[in-house]
Parts: sequence; structure tokens; C-alpha cells
Amino acid sequence: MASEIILELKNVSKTFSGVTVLKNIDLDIKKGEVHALLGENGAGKSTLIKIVSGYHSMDEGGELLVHGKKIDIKRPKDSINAHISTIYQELTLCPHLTVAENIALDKQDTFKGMLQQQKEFTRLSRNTLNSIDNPDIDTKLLISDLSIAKRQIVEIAKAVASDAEVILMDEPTASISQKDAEALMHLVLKLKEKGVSIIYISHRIHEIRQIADRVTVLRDGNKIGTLKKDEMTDERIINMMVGRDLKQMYPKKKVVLGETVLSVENLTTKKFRNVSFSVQRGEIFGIAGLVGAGRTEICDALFGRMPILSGTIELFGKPYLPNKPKDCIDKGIAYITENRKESGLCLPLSVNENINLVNLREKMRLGIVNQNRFEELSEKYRNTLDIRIQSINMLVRKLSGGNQQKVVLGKWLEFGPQLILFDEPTKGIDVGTKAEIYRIMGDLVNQGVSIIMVSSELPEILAVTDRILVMREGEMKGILNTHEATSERIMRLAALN
Amino acid sequence: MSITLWNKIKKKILDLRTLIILIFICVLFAVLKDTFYNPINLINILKRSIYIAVAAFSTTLMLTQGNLDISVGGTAALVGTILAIILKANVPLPLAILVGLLSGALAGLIVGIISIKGKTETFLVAIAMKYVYVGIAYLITRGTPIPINNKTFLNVFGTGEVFGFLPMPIFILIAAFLLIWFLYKKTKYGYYLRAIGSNIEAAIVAGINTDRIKIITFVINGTFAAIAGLNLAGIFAFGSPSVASDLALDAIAAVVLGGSAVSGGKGNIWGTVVGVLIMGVINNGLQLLGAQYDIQSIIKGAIIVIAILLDSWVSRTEYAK
Amino acid sequence: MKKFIILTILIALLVGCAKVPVTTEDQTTEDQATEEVAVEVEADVEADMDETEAVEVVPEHSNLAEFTYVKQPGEEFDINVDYFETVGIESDLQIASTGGWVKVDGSPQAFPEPNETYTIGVAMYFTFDEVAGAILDAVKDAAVQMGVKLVIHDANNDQTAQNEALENWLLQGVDGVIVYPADFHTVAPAIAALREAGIPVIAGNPPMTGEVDSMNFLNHYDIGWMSGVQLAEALMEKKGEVSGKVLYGTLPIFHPNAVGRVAGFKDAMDSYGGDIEYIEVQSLKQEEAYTKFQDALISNPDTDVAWAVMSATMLGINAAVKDTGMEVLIGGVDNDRPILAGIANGDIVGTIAYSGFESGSWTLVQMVNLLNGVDIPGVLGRPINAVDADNVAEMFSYYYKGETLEEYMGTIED
Repeated sequence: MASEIILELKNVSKTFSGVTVLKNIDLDIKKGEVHALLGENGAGKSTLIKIVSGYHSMDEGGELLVHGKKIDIKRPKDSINAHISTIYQELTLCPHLTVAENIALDKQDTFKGMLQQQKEFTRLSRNTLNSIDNPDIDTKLLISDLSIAKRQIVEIAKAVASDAEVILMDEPTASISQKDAEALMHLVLKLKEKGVSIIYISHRIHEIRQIADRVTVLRDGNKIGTLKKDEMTDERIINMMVGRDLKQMYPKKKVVLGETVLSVENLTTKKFRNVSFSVQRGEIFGIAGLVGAGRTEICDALFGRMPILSGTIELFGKPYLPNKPKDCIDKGIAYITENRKESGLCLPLSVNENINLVNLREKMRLGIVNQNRFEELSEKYRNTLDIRIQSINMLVRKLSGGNQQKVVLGKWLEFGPQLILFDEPTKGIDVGTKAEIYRIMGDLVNQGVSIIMVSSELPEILAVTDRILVMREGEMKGILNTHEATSERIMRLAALN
Repeated sequence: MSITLWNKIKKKILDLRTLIILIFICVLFAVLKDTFYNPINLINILKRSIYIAVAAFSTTLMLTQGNLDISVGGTAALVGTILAIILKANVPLPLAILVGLLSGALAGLIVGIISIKGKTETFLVAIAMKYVYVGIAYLITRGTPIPINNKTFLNVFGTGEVFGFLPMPIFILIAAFLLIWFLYKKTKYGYYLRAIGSNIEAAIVAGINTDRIKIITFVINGTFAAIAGLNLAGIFAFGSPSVASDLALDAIAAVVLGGSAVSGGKGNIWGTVVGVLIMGVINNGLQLLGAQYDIQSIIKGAIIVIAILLDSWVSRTEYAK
Repeated sequence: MKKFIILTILIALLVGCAKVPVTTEDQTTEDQATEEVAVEVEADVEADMDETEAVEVVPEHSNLAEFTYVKQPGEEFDINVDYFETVGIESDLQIASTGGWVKVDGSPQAFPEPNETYTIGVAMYFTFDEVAGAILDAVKDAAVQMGVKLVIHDANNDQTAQNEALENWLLQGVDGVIVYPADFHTVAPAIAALREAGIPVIAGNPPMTGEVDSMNFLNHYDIGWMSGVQLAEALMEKKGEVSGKVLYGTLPIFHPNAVGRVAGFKDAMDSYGGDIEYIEVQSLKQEEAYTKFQDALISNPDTDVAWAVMSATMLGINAAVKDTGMEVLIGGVDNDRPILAGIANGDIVGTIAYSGFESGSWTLVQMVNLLNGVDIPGVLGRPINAVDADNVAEMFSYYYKGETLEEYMGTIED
């Protein structure tokens, strides 16, 4: 295999409104190699891809070279013209166009004239599909008539058809079955044989070890290092991915655990199977795992947002069948989702109005809002949660992520919940404010509330929880006591077969 | 692929659902009222559906790209009055028609540029511009319909007949259909249009100038509204500012009935023809049966609602794979 | 503090709105008529002028000489019983003026001199149609003649908007209000408020509910009757008898004027004693009338007469009859230019017409007299005219001052 370098990134950085998400990344891709990119959520992989594919522009000082020549990529088309194609997780096919029309879409410059050249489209797509060993796909079918796995193959064919020398694949196996994933990896190797370079992003370490020639690990926007095929051991990869230790930064307060609040036996839904665990009063119970492992879905099931197929739940010693969110709230469960807007934050409204959206009826008389009670309540949470605002009449839209999260908390606390389901509590929040969220969580459990916390950030989950449930691909892989757990142990359970 | 025979049949039935509805109501009316199958009646349904059909054709393109331009009624009225006025001033007919079509194109262009370049809600821009166009039509006529005496125009766009039974405007309908079909199926424009409506991100990535394609659609839509306006002027032999006020809604209803996806990306031009005919047949059949305004209105509305629900159901089952 | 300022601004704005005269360009009214059939339009101008000048100490109506009294001044009558009930309309309208019930033959021949410069509000239900344009022109002309200030409002068929305008005028303190309502019932509270505040109200297009000082009136039953006579005569000439099938186009909504016209039309046709089958066709807009009459004609190929309650219906019928190529006699009510053109080129038998111009002039003349202290007639009936091929050119120029039918129709090309 030739070792000619096709794509090279030099000193690439990216800052979004003051927050640096990528720092001085150097990366080189050789002809015909499969180069894996690996890192925790938020490590900067997606940003890096979007810079290469033309969706984001890099900061001043960085360079992108193709065949040793500096290229200025301002929009997605520039990237395609430089023979770089990107396959995103959300597919970029047109569902109402045929297979042939989709495959030909990025090649439009080469079709002259005002007319559609359907025959040419068909020939191009036929040839391409044949060349990647998928001759059985009917080019006249609409994309909407294909399965997800087939659509992905069409997407790859589209990249090949546009003469891509480098194909970026963002978690291509995330939403397809094991069998289809194997076929896809076979296809990746096929492309490599044809001299195409692949940048392959995946959380599945075993996949990477199977097909990657090299792997580059990112963490917190930094490049940690690149390993060659013979250096890739699970230990080394995991070590590079984790690293930092927050335990010292955020010492956990000792809380005496009380009686069992929630116990779950063999809970099964469409997205996960046979999950059993229990949570005690005053406990912070963590759920770890990679994206798509079924972590959030456990919370959804407990909150009546996902149908339960089998298994039993006991809440405060009584059988509990989550039905609809309203009932769950009445039973003392709060659910703060990853998406703050979903959790009921109305961005165009003020802090005051947001906090008071809950229990509105009690605060009104004959449909008229009692403003004084409103403000009283808002001020209370402003103080106890230390929401840093000039006035409670500030619009939530203008607050930082951390302060928004506090508003969400304030809103839910007004229900007086006994059990809080907290999904990615510090997502999109800066490091300083993270500590405050942990402090608030500590205060809450001190008052006897229990928390189930889903987190992708291992240091955080290791710092604040009492026990950790690890999920992988819908299965429960074990429950660790936090004081015995390490990043490596969790990552091994979460990512390895 | 595991499409079984039954699935294939089911898919075909769903694809042809509007045609099945049309046949069903035709049979129903034929059974209920003998005058329905009178050839004169069928030709009349066709004849009076022409202006709605023409507007519905270009509305199919609009819906494919994911916009709705409801200003077309105003455009049609305006073009009719402009034509009447310049014909009265003895401008030669071909030139007058050209001016009419260009006025329509300009009206569409204005809506398109404001809504696409201004990055605003097309629907609202179109409502506003409809007021403007209708206002101009009233202004230039002082509220009075202007008579049109040009026999050639009245024949071609209005009440002329060939072979003693075939209305002449039917050729305009056929030409309009072929033009839209060609644009949609054969030109790059049509291909890009479907790509934009289907997944605009993919279209942008492919380097398509999406704004330009979208604005072209507005221009086509305005031009077709102008043709509809000329047809109306031909029928009434007047350029009147008060006609066509419901044209856009009738056209949209026909397109949706015809099975074009409300969410964009999938236009169905044959379906639009069927949709227009369904509307025409329902109005005609109910009137023949002696149903009055109230009942006709209710049944028309109910059928459109059913078509929308069907569309939503079909698109949900399509993607649930 | 902020709230207080906003409140203050709001109040200031409201007051400001009330003070700004709402001026719009046009107006209209569709209906008014006389008690009896009046076909001829003529008047003796000089005689009237003399009489006006002779007015002395006791205020006397400036146009006394033009009145034919149906009910004498001081004579009791009830318009609800005497007119509305006879055509089957339930009505509760009171007339305050006791100056009798008169009919006139044409436009006012004299204009009163106002005792002071009055400001008069004219509230129109809409201003964009033929009759509306004429009313508005007439009101403006008359105002210039008499030296009266006008405030005009176009409700665009929205009674809420009209009521708001009337309330504004009340605050503004206009001297009198002429109202052509969009809705005959919901206008009542606004009119009541005006009269309670001592502002006189003259209805241009009589409301069915409430009390006004005077009203300007068209007899819609007579309009329908005259149209029936016109078509019956034409049918007689064609078939030798007044019998057969009649399609009549009316509105899907209840409109008292339409009810009166339809009743008069049927009664006139029936009065010939023949056997007539009536088929009702409802429509609002021209395109609707076109398609619905097309269908109706196809399912009734033996139709003899197609009749229209108003202009949009008649234009739709005309196109539908042309399309089907049937020989049908077309007639109806209204005198829009295209209808007169249709009569001239033989498509339409005739129409029954009334002048918006007369309506506008008379309401303002009445109002100025009223403000001058005259006990004006409570009901003023205006003339209605039958228009057919014989008089259509002449009538066109009467209804549309300064225009000719020939000019409007243009040259017919081949």
C-alpha cells in the first residue's frame, strides 16, 4: 500500500463564541488507509469532521492540505470538489429521489445542458454499485422504499461516484444491525483496496481494531495521540480516551443512605433488556455507557415515555407502572432531560415565568396570576440555587447553559420530587458551573432526595455518584461501587465485547 | 428487499388512491343522476376546471419545493384586467398576451424574491402581496370590469370550440400540462426542485443554488396564474378585478387531493389532474343532484380533510421501515 | 413606573385615534327605492330653484316640490307593517322624523344652505363596486355644493370596524351620521349610542333593527316585480305564453333585499297565470354563479329563463349560457357596466336599475335639512328604472355621468 499522504490537517483549532472545542489538531491521512477517530462525547470529533466537510470554518492559523496543496474549504461543495465526501449519521439522501438520482446528485457539474440525463444517472449509479459489490440494489427505487442499511450503501455509492479520495464516516454502524454492520465494514475494506482513504468514527473499539490501520484519539478538543495497528490495545486506547480525574476537584459529601426508594427487576423495552437495579434514599445512582447503549431510554421508561414490555418496578415499596409523565410527576418523580427545551424551558420567556410554569393553577385566583407569589418563588430559587441573573425578569434565552440548567432545576424542585432522573446534567455547561450543579445535587441528596444520573462524562460520573450501572447496546453490563470504579473499568464494560 | 407481492399491490393501491376515489365518485354520480354521463356535461366539467388546473399545475411545483404561494388569485385577477385594458387600447393580441404573461411572471418573482431572499415566511408574504395585486387591479379599473371584444382572444381563451364540441382552451390546458411535466420530469430544474423539497441539506451540499431554483418556481407559478387569469377573462369576456379570489385555495386543495406530499419533495402532476377533476366532479354532481351551497361546501371540505389524512398516513407508513 | 408610562401612551393613542378623521376614498350602497314604479327621469330644475330661494323664517324642506307624498307629514305609519311584512321579512325599525313618507323621481334638484358648517360622517359598508363608487361621488359632489365637511369610513364589509368608526365619531362630535351598514342587526347598538348622544342618523340602506331619524329607501319587492314583468313579456313574445322553467339565482346567505326581490319576481311571473317551475341556484361570487348555472342548465336543458338577484350572479349566468349555447332569456337586478353592455349586445333581456348617485345626494340633502331644523320625511323612496335594449345607452350615461356606453364597450373586432 502506498504511503502517499492525501489529506493533511495542520494546527486546526475551532472556537465557538469563546469556547474552544478544538485545539491545534494535526492529522494526516494516507492513501488507502482506514483512519479511526475516537474520543468521548464532546471530545471534538464531530467538529473536526464538519470542518473538513465545509460546514464549519476553522480558526485563523490552521491549514488543510490535499495532495500537499493548501485548500480553502468554505462550503460543503468545496469539500466535494476536493474529492472529500462525508457520510453523516443523519443521512443526507433525498427520500423522494431515486437511487440513481441520489447517487448522481453531487456529480451535477459533469452533466451538461438543461435536461436531466436519467440514462447517465442510471449508468453512473449502476457502475458504482457494481464496483462496491452491491449490484442488487435497484437504481429506480425511491430512497424512501429502502431499508436504513441499504440507504447507507447508497450514501457510500454517492461518495464513490463523486470520485471521493477520502470518505468521512460518522458512526456509520450506530443505527444498523450487527449483520448489516459487518457488511458495511466489509465494504469499507473494499473501498480501502480501491485506494480510497476512510476516516472512520465509531465508539465501538472492537470495530476499530478490526478495520482501522491507525487510530487517533481526541479528548477535550486536544489530540492525545495516534496509534498504529500493532499498537492498538484496548488498554492503550481506553487510557488515552479517559485520563483526567475529577474526584479531587469535586469531593463528594458523605451522605447516609436510607431505605430503598426504587427497585427495578428485569425491566425490558424495545431499546434495552433485563435491567435490574435499586436506588436508595440519598443516593446518586449513575448510569454510564456509550451513546445508544440504552441509558436515556431507562429514564424514559421510568417516566412513562416508553412502553415497558416486561419486568417490575417498585416505587417507595409499592408496585409502580409508569403510565404517562403527569402520573409520574404526581408520584414524586422529576425528569430533567438532556434537552433543556424539552424539559419545559421556554426560551423566549423570563426566568420568573419559567420557574412558575409549574403548579400554575395553584398560584392563580379565578384565572388571574398572583404576581407577588410568582416573584416570591422565583427569588427563593434564585437564592438557593444561586442563579446568577440581574433580575428574575431576564429572558431565559439570554442566560448561560449553567444558569438555564438551574432554572430547569428550580422549576422541577417546586414539585417537591423524591426521585430526580437527571440526563446529562452538565451538558453544554462550562467547567466552573459544573461544580455548582454537583454542589446542588449534593445538597439535594443531603435533604433525602435520590438522583439517577445519566452521563457520558466518565470523570463526572466517577466524582459524584455512589454506584454506577454500565450499559452496552441495550444490555446491563454490571453495577460498580463508585469508590472501586475507574474510567478504564467502565470503558471496558461499555465499549468492549 | 423484502417487498412481498401483497405489499406491492398495497403500494400500487395507495399510489392510485386518488384515481380510485375519482372513479368511485364518477360511478356514484352516474348511478344517482343520468344527466351526469351526458358528454356535454363531462366537457363542461373539463372546460370550467381549466383555470384551476393550470394554477394547480404550478402549485404542484410550489408544494414540491415546500412553499405555498396563495397570491395567485390576485395575480390572475390583475393579469385579466391588464389584458382587457391594453386590448382596449388597441395593442395587438400577441403582444397583449405576452404583456399579461410577463406581468404574472413579475408578480411571482416579487413574491419569490421577498420571501426567499428576505428569508421570511412565504405564506405571509403571499397573503400580503395578494392584497397588493388585487388592489392594483381595482385601481387600474376603478372597480369596473373592462369588456374584452377581441374575438380571437375570446375564442382561444374562452368559449371557442373545435370540431363543434371541443373547447379551445383545452389546448391551453394540454400545453400547460406538457410544459409542467417536461419541467418536472425532464429538466435539471425539476431534478433540483425535487432534491430541494426532499432534503435541502443534500441539495446545498451538492452545490445547487437553492435560492435560484426556488425563485424560478415562483416565477413559473406567477406565469401560470396569469394563464389562469387569461382563461377567466376569456370565459367572462371581461377583465374583472373581483374574480379568482379563491383560486389559490382551490388549486392547493386539488394538488393535495392529487397526492403530492404536503411536506414537500414529492409532486404528483398526474395526481393534480385527478385532484382537479375530483373537485370539478364533486361540485358538478352535487349541483346536478340539487344540493345547495351549504351541503356542497361541507362535502368539499370533508373530502379535502380525508385526502390530507390519507397523505399523512401514507407518508408515515412509507418511512416506518 | 414603566407600566404607568405605557398606560399613558396607550390612552393618548386611543384619544388620538378618536380624533383623527378616518378618511377613505369610496363608498357604496346598493339599495334604495321608491314605493312605486318610476321609469322616467325628468325634473323641472328652474321651478325648484325658485322655491328654495323662497324659504323664509319657518324652516321648510329645500326639496318640497320634488316630493310625492305616500304618507302626509304627521300621518302615522309603520314601515315594518307597510313594507317589510308584505314581503315576509321580520323587522323592527322605528323612524323618528314625522315629516311623512315621500317618493322622488330622480336626483335632488335643489341643495339647502346649511345654517353652519356641519361635519357629517358617512359610514359605508364597502366602497369597491359600481354603486358604491356612485354613492361616494354623489356625497362628495353634494358636500362641495353645500359647503359641508365630510368624514368617510370604509368598513370593508366588517360591521365591527364600522361600529368602531361610529363610536369614534361620537367622541369626535360630528353633527350627523349617514350610515350604510354592513350588517343590518349588529349595527343597532352603535346607532342607538349616536342618537342617545343627540347625533341624528340617516340610514342609507335601511337597518332592520333600531331607530333612525330617517331612511333612504328602495322597494326591493317592486324591483323584483318589475324584473318579472320584463322577463314575462319577453317570454310571451318568444313562446306566446308565460310558462315553463325558470332558474333563479339568489344568495346562500339571508339577505332581506334578496328576499324582497325574489318574492316580487315570482309574484310578477305568476300574475300571468301560466304554469311555471322555479329552480333555485345559490351563489356568492361570479365564478360560482358561472359553474353552478352551467350545471343547472345542463340538468335542465328545457330552461326558459335564468334570473339573477344581483350583478355577480347575472354575469356568471351570462357566461354559463354562452358556454352551453342554450337559448335562455337572461334578466335580473343591478346596473353594473358589464350588465348594461350585455343588454346592448343582446345577451341580456333587461335589468332593473337604481342610481347610487341619487342615493348619495339625497341622504346628504336630507341630513343638512334635518340639521337646519326641518322636519324631514322619515322615508324617502327613490326611483327604480327598467332598462332594456331601447333605453340602455341613455341610462348608461345617466348612471355613469360623463361616460357613454359606446365608449365603454369599445369597438368589436373580428
